[in-house]
Amino acid sequence: MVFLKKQIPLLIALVTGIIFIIQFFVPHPASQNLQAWVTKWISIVTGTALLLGLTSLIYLHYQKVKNKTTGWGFSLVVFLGVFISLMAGFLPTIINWLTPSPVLTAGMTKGSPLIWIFNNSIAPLQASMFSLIAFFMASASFRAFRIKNIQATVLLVSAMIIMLGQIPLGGLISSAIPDTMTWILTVPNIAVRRAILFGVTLGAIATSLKIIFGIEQSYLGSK
Amino acid sequence: MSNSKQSIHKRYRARWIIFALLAITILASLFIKADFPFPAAQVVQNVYDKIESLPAGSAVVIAFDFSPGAAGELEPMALAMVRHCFKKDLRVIGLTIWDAPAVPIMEDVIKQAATEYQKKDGLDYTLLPFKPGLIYLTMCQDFYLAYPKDYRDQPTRELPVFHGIKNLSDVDYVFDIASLSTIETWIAYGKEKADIELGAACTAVMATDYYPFLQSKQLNGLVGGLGAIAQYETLLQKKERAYQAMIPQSAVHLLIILLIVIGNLIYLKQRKKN
Amino acid sequence: MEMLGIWLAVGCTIAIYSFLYKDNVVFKLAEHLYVGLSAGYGFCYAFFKIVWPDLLLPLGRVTVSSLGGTLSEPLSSHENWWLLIPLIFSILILTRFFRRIDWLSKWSFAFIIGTTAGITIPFVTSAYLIKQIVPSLRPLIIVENTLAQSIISSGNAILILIGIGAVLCYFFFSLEQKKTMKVISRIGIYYMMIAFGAAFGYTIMGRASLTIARFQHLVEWGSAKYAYASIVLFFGVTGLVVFTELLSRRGDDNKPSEIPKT
Repeated sequence: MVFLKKQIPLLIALVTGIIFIIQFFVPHPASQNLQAWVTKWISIVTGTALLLGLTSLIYLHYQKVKNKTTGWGFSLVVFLGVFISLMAGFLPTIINWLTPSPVLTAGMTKGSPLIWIFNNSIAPLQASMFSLIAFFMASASFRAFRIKNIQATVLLVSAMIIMLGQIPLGGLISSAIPDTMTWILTVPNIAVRRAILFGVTLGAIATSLKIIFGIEQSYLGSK
Repeated sequence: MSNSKQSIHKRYRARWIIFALLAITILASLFIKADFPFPAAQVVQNVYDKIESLPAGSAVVIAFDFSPGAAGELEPMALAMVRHCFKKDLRVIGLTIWDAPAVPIMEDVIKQAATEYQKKDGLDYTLLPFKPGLIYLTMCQDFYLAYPKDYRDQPTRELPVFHGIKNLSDVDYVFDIASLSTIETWIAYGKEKADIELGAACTAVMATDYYPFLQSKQLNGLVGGLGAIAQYETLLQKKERAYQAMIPQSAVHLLIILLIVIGNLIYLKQRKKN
Repeated sequence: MEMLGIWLAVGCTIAIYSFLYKDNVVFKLAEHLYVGLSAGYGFCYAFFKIVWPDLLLPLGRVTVSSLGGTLSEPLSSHENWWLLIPLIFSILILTRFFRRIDWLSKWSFAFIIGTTAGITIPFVTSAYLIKQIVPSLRPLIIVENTLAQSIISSGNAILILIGIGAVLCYFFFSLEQKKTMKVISRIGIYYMMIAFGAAFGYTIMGRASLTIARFQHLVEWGSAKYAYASIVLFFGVTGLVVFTELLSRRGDDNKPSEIPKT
């Protein structure tokens, strides 16, 4: 049983991993088609995995309601949201199936109930949440951005040049501001970003190798 | 009221004052209308020049890889880019490799521009549904395997907009508008496998990350943040949302600089006292 | 319907903005509604645009065709029995619903992760290492139209190379940061401070842009054309927040207040 539960997944990762490292170096059409098909399959399987997301969310909030944990009433609002979305998504399609000619705009195109909900509630809710950050950044700038040493001063000066350089006012004050901004972005910034990129890439390669050779197994879960 | 409660209320008050200052600054400056010069940075100009250099009928993939959360910043860029393509009579293939919520934004933007320039769905442009996983590698080999149908469930193979296109290599330019790390994805996979010509727009938060790719010519140009988008709108002579936002944007930047300076003056005063 | 949509969008926006006062019931309601609606939307999308058209429908058509049935459209090249492979892996993923056999889902995850890892290695090595190392080293001496331009361009190229080396030294933990290493690392720190300052400046721009865009919409929706939606709902939602705050404060006076962090 351990073989089925543990060894088989590790074997699958090893075989698929090695196949696709080798595949990169084989330009034959058959090899290219194999990659195209397998990546298509992964897209489909990932799509199915997306369906799991909803069930996990429902389970989590069901537990909150069941155990009456603090704020369990809000979990009912989550259920309400899910119910509304699912009804808006599936009901028009079902109605259209049951009637001889389509009577409603179904599916995921403009004019359908689900897209109406998306445009008028999901999108503004998310946009508003992201837009809140500016207020806290302003507050943090006042409270936390302190010139305690030379390094902090360098950071502050650089930030100020960029803040002025990106707006039309910067260029109106002096052409040196956008020019200095360009220099910062194309010289010290490139050096730092590239060094970090090297580090991150080496880390990604190491992690991928650890997955392929079964050293990294966290994706298989605890069981 | 106890001392600790008083101190908490004091902190809340200070925070609310800053929030109110920011809100008032934005609201007040939104009503100021002005025309000002805003010359484009070279990296923005490169994107514009690339679109200008493409002959009519060329195919451009525009990837709408941003969430509604970043739409405030990137939607003006998406609109400017689609308008530019339609103005030059280029074929537009809209898609996203990021996530499903980008699709309705893509539909809104492309249809708005298509109405303005009287372009036809399926003939001058198409929208492809979001597919997860490594679909960008599938389309590098075969567009029709990756996307057998467009967002209206029409077979892509039969759409005139795909004439002469089998895979991503047949596309003349790919432009990614991103709020997450999809630009890296296009560089690592699209550029490496299909040797695409790639340009990008991104949120200001991410903009500094992509300068190494500009130097290495893996990106031909970059429109990073609302300032750069306003520059693009200026080049296109369609000064809209991004350009109009530059006055409030300037006001906010000045406010933040002022807050940092005041904060530091208070800090220096306190340090001297101690 | 458009007007109703605008009013809903404004209500959602102001409900989220009520968080600026502090965490409150109206904000929490909007937040949880967002989670529910988004999850439902994601489910519908995955079903209607991925699982149904890419897997179930083509497989159904292949089956009908094999059994001699007639199809409205002929089979395309991607509609074939090979789709049984993703079907099997998809079914394995769904075994997570059944505790006794949920280990089978690991086979699917191993397939996805293994393939992705294998594909990642050569592509990122080529794009992020090889193609990034080359422009760091070449050309270091750049000849331009004038001597001054040549000196500036070459100086910048050398500065980039020094910066990369210095930053890498700072993050190189296998050697003790002493003497020369310490000096080089300090140079790296200054490079990073400049770069992070630039990132901070850009972040201010990005975050402010999002707020400005929201305010642009609110101002537009506060006009007579939209029946002053923003103004009416601002007072409506504020009233609701005050009302719920007063309700929650009853018997809550002894609880310690939340300390704002920023």
